[in-house]
Amino acid sequence: MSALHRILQWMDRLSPAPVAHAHCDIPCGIYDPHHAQLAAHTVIRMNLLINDLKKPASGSKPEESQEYANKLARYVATKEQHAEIAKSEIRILWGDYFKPEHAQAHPQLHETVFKAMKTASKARQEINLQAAEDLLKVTNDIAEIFWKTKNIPTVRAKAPYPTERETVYPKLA
Amino acid sequence: MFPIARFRVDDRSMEPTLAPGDFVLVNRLSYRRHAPSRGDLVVVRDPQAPLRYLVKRVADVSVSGAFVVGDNQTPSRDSRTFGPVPKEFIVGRVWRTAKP
Repeated sequence: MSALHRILQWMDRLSPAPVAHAHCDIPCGIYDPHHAQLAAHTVIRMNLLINDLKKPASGSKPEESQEYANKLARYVATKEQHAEIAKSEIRILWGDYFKPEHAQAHPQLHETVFKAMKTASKARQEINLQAAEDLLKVTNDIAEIFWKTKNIPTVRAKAPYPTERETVYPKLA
Repeated sequence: MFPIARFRVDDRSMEPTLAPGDFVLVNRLSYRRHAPSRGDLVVVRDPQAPLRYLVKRVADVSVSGAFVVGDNQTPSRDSRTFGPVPKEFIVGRVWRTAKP
């Protein structure tokens, strides 16, 4: 048998044989793009709260400046955290869930993930509502691909949060 | 259609029969004239991801297809998860296996 294996190995170098998986799925198999979408909503919400925050007028009382600094710091910290959560969640889907055949069936997958990373970084670095909106859009795109790979239809609906942005949800029976 | 297809095995659910790095040669014409039999080693398309191939053993044959399982049942995702494999998803019977 060893000679046959050598011949096949040589052929494999010229033209790789397709892989027949015996499939050992020790990873838990529990994945969901919802975490990333939720984090994107939070980033939008923080931008809205920051923009609504009344800036202290010059010569305002120290207590007012302090109050402003406190709220701003908290909103910015949460925005930072959640942009990072979005990135981490998308990396998990990309690294652990998506398989080569998913990328084959959805050729835009890699580019979409790349865009998500860049957009999330921008949303993290800046007070930039547009970047946050773009982050939600790209996490929705990833969610759509994700549910398609599971043959689960999706629906775009207004989210039941203060952000009320359009969000991709799976249509579970 | 060339009757023999090559596949490389990459994980462990068919151990000890097949290990990662083994090759299998599959006869694609083997089920032209008759249905699979119990005990046959087969390569099938994953019913849940048809671009993916799986190598399994036929445990039972019914009108709805071949019920396939891994020899090493603990880590195997097989017909216990995705049900019987329809005839059109069966690539063929393993004709030769090659180990290093």
